Amino acid sequence: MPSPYNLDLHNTCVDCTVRAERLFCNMSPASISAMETVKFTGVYPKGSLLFVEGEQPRGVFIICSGRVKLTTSSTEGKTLIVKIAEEGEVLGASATILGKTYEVSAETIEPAQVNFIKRDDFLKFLNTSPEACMHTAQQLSEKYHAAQREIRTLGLAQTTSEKLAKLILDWCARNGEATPKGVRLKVLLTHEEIAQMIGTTRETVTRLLSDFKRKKIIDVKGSTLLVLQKEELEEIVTV
Amino acid sequence: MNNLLSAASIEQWPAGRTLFREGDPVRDVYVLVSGEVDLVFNARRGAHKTLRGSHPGEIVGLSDAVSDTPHDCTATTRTPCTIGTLPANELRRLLHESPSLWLTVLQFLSNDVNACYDSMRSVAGLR
Repeated sequence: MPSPYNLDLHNTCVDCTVRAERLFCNMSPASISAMETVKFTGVYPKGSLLFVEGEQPRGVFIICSGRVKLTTSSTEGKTLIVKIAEEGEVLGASATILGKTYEVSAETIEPAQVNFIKRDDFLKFLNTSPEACMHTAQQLSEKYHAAQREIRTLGLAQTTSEKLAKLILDWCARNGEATPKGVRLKVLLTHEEIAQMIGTTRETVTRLLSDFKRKKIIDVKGSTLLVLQKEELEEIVTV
Repeated sequence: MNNLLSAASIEQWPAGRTLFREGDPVRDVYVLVSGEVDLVFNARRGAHKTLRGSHPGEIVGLSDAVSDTPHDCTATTRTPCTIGTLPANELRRLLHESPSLWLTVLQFLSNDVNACYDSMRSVAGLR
């Protein structure tokens, strides 16, 4: 029988074939067995809200597959994407640990398998496993550094063009595929979402991408973005 | 916090002193008892800006020590400060000897993450 959304499902953590590649899940058999007893596995379509900014913390979410956007919004409805979280990341840990409301909202941007651990169970797990504490600390540290990088770009970049160039270069470094023509990227975000990542409007992103295309710095075909002149983007970036 | 402070060397720092610079390897973490610390971010072409601050009750440089990565900003005292300096190696030793201390560290890190999201909202003009 086909799996939901054609996901390669990881049914148990103990037997998970990719666990060793995941920073949080790569724990000793004893710790992972303890986690196995308290986690619930869920499969979500694109656009599912895992939790919402301001909501009381219910627990943590571990992304087994798929990607999740973390956003924060102003009372006027302006939205900023603070991070695109990927496989292996733990979401909602800071709220769960502090017992304070979630600071961001989490929404799947593609079909995803996500494990959930209730707050009480997660706190008990931390109390009994220093290894789980260490791995959670690494997750929090990674979130902290990612946020610091965003603060740097948002705060120091002098133009929106520079913010967009920086974002494309970050994608190149993380997920780019080198080809004879340049670095190929699969971009599954809409112009609106790209705008929300760099704190601007959809219209500005559309205009800037057109500018980059006209100058033959990039080429865009469907969801594929080809960076033809990476050095031109690097020239724009000062941060 | 008291567990960490008891192992730290507590000193008064005047305003304008640098705790660490962006790119420096982590040697110590700094328990901020009183005063304010600016976190300054440098751009490639010489520009720099204070985009965040640290306040009493925070541990400056903790996240860098946990991930063992170089400091990602420069920390400078904005006001006279009372700071407990704890070598990163000593922090690791304490965590090894008293695993329950991890829970305290997780709370500090969680507060740091939340403070970063607050700063992001400010820098992006969301509040």
